[in-house]
Amino acid sequence: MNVRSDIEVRLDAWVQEGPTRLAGPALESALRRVAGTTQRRTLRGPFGLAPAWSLGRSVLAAGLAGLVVVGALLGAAAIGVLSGGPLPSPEPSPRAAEPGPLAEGARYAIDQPVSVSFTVPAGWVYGGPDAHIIMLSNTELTAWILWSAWPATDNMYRDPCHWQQGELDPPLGPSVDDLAGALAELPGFVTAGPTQTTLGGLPAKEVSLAPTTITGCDQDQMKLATSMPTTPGGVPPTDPTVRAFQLSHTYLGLGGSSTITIVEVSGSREVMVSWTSMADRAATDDVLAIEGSVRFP
Amino acid sequence: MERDLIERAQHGDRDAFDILARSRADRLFAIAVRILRDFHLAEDVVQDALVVAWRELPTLRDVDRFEAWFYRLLVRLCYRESRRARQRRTPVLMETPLGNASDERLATVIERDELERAFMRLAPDQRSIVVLHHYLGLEPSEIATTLGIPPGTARSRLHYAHQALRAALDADARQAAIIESRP
Repeated sequence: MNVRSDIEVRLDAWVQEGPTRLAGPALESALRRVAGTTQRRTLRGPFGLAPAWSLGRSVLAAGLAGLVVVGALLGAAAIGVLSGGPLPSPEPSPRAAEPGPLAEGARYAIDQPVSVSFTVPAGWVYGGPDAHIIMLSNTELTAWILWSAWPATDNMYRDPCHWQQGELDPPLGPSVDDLAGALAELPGFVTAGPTQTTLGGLPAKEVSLAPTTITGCDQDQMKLATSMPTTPGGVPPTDPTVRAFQLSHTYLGLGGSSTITIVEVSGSREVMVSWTSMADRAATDDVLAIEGSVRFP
Repeated sequence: MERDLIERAQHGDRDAFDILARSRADRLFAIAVRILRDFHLAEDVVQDALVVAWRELPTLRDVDRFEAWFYRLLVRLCYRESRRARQRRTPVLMETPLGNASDERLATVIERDELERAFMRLAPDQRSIVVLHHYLGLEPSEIATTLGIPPGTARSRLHYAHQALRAALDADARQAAIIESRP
């Protein structure tokens, strides 16, 4: 027999007390908001493919965009030929970045997971791509930059410190604003933003996150999303030979501030994370210079 | 009928959602106000829940889980509001004016006040479980399904919530005894 304790009996009675009706104006106000809200349409076909109508639209849009681009190029060429004026000289092709030190001022390109090119100041190193992330860092490791695609289907943890509690529910939406808004709402950080900015000439949203502590976090780690693992303990390891590699898995570092810039490139939500140590203010200038040099093909 | 309304709302039928919302608003508010212990916050949360439910409804895969999905959404918004409210407001308790209360009535109000204070010391996830269990009458396994947590977690949170409430009430009783014993 299930014997209810005294506290359970008291709660049974107590919790029944109190209001049970939502005021009419509050309900009407909510329904007016509903009337002005668009439903999210993220229905997906088998194997995560977008529904056929969506694919069709994408193909059509891409075709039209291609026609516009080709037309514009032909038009520009024609104007150049007819007017006899010089066509703008193309920027030198970026060279593919190889793991190791990078030359100051040279333009480098990376294709995976994000196609992007950039220049770097003196003293920057390319760590090499892995499954999700591209990492650049200065040789002192007081600043680094990561690139990642954040697919519309990827959710994020409700609480990066207590990530074992699970992911956002309802899940993260597909837009740049959805991700920026969700990041800004995360507990456990001193947060700035989201603010409007540009990256590679495209409109972008930026959120800065500085973790307050990892004490008491699940497994002593902070995590944003399942596909983005952290360094054990969330703290950069002290061994420099493994540190550079492990930093590439670290999105959230103590002792510094992470700025997450989100941009939509050809329908894909791309994320750039820069981290700068509080101990090296000059590194911030380097990061800003690299960000300013970013171009999408 | 209900299933038809949900499916129509999923496909953008605002009238269908209007019916669903009106039929649930009071229940959602009753749950929210018991978790948050604040009328205004509860109103805000229910309004947000209705808007988010409309926006996200197309992502609901199993129409038969609509009720649980809606409760889960509401509880998540209560968590969020609790975090915000913790820093900016003092909760408005659901007090009853004492007036010329009899001893019996006074005892009831005092007991209610004790529970209120003890309850406010619980974490939002514990409060939610207490409300889902004692107000809605859900068993831990049903709470687990509703909140999307393991059944063991639901059981242990409820257990610890009871334990914490008991400890808080005992602590208040000891405090009251000390005050009464002072000359």
